[in-house]
Amino acid sequence: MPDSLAIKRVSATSSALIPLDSLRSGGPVYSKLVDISKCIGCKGCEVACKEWNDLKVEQTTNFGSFQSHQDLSSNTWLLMRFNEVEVGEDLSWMIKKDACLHCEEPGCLFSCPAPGAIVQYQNGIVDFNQDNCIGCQYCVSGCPFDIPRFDKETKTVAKCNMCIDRVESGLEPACVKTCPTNAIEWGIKDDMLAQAEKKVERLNERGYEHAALYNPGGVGGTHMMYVVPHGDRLEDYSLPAHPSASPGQLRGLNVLQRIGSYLLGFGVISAFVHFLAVGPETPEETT
Amino acid sequence: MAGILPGYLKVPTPEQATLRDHLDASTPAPLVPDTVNYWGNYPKFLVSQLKAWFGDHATAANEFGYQYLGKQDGDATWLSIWDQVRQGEVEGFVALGFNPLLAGPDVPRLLESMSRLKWKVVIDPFMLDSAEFWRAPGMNPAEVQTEVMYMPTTHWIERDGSFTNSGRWAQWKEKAIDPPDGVRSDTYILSELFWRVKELYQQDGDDAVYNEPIQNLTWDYLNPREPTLVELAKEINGYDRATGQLLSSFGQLQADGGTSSGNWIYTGSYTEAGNVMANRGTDDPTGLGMHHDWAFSWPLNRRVLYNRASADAEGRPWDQGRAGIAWNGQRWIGDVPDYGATTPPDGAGAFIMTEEGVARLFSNHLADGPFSEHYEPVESPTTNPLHDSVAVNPVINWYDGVRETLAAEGDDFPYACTIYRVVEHEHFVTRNVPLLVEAMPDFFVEVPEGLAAEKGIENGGRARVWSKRGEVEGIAIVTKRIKPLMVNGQTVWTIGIPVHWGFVGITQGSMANLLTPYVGDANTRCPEFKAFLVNVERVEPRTT
Repeated sequence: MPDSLAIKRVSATSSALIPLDSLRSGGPVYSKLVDISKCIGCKGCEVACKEWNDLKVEQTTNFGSFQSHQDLSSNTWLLMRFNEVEVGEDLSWMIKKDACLHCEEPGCLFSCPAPGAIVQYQNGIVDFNQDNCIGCQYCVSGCPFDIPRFDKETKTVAKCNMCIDRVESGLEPACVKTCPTNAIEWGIKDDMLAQAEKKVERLNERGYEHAALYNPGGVGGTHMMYVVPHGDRLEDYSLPAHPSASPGQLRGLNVLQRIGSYLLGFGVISAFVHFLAVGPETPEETT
Repeated sequence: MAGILPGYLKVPTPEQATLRDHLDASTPAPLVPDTVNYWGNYPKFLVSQLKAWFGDHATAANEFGYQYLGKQDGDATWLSIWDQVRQGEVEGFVALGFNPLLAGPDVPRLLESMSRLKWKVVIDPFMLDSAEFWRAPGMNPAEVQTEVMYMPTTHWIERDGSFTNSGRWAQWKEKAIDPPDGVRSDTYILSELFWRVKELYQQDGDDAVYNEPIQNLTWDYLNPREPTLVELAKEINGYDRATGQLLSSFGQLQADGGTSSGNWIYTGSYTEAGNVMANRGTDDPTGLGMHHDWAFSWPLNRRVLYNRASADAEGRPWDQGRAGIAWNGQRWIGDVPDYGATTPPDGAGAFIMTEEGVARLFSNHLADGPFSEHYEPVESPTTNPLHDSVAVNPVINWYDGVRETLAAEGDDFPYACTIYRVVEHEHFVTRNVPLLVEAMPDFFVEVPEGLAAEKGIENGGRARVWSKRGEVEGIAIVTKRIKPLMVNGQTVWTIGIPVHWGFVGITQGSMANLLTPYVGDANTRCPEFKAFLVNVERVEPRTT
């Protein structure tokens, strides 16, 4: 397994149950950096996302906006949200790349009761594994950014996987690759933080006194960060000011989940003990 | 572009009876000593072009085939071509790689003109509105007698070849996928057309009119029925006719027939060293994004045109932080210089393409020159405050019946309108691409907030926009982005319309050019797409 795919956390699985060799630490930690001030709203990233991840084309209808879809879906993991806002005398066309932020403290993963349905890698990527998804949608409630979407047909939940197959091969995610203005960058998180600092400074110099980096501490920071020209107007970008990985209303649920996950974990251990004692099961031979 | 041959050479006119006449009229003499006056090389470029076209049949004795060229005796711009069709002077039309019906102004007038063609050929990777103009909204197919032939051809993604971008970089590309079964390349179709015409002429023998240029045209390809794009690229680059070697610079071109080049500005793009357009080096020592090892930039791989003007009289860059070229005492460094590499800064005027070697504040080459002037669009919501008695350009060409198609005194067209593209679509091609249609699905009308409020138009509702020529209808985007203009003390609202829709393709909608006027500017006759008058109203939602 490449370093880039060393595992950090697995949903509903205590770390004791994760094979040690996949728990190695070290290896690069990545982040996307979206500079909203450089986005021209071309939606090339949306299209590249669908192309690379082989997501179904959806029938869309213009609803009085340059925005393509009303909302994210299990087949639209990335949506450019368009919002015309007047800031003082100036008009600002706020265009926000709406997709999974890949939280360091992923609310989705913490709220998921299905072992192995959500995996967080050391490199920062939070990935859904639909094979293990039980369709409970707790992750939807657990996400402070309202990102995962339930697919009624497959009864599973889906979201941006940061093009993990590309990252694994040393490539940048498809949206980064396609962006014609380099508004989306990709690299080691520390480098991206340094880059963001420079960008904010430059925006400050240009008169955007509230320009800010969006890398919220309430979720331990994110692996898609934004440089926001109007940092005092996060609501206009539909970015929560204080997102948290463990919303109050879910705390009770968390306890239940914990119990559930330990029960599931117990099942796995029992199976392992059974395996050691009895050996692998073989299909009964038919004659 | 209608009056030029490849490489900005000039189309001969009937008065230019001989090659000498044409060269004399087209080759400027320097007005001052020490000027580069690059067009002084015109004869080398034109004769080399004739050699590329007619090869051994182009000799000094027959004026290098000059008499084989057509002589243009009138305007041949878009508006004039379709006006001639309208007058019944044109029988057939071949459209290759574009969509005439949607590309020009005043679609209702264009439909009328198009219906007067006897035949029309449309060669394109996708079915086009132009190939089905007889079933455009409002048309009665039974009344259209034009025979239309549609020939599917390869898309650029199904072939190798080059793109030249607006920064003049010719970038070679490889073929990505195979074309569908039965779809042929445009070079195949054009070659086939050429050979069949040539064979028909041969059958006519001595009776054939204008036979020589067709029989003598060079068609020297490995497979003469389908030249490769590499062969064409080399032919465009040009050869030394004596050695058969590819040329590396247009400085080598000669006016005596010793060289050939299909287009002098591309000489150096495909040399004995290989296909320069395919270069993919990413180094950029200039730090200015020049990337000299990436593709080929005409002319001579020069990345910034007229870069001599980026340095002062002593050859020092005007902007030290962004040096285009600089004189180091012996030679120019940086970009490929306008000048000879070792021509000192005071060797010649900085503007190499003018006879006087200096910049122009005014020019006698403009129909409405020599000085800049402000004129209102032919349809304007206001007067011309500079000189209202001559509000619009007095030297534009008025085609028959066009004045009657413009908003007149007393008509109710109070709003300005403009048409544009959106980034999600490329002309009329991407309406066939599901992913891009998903990204920008429908024809729309952009209405400023204040006007929408006045008219009761709701965001996401429907609106109808009409000019004196036609009307469109679509989903309304009510926007803050289009601000009202204060013009001569009066509020003027602007409505915006995208151009990508028609009645063919997986997304369909109104044609923006149903609204635009059949008027071109005084010099290029580029149509006045960008400013005209309309009215707008709310349309009740469709109940389907």
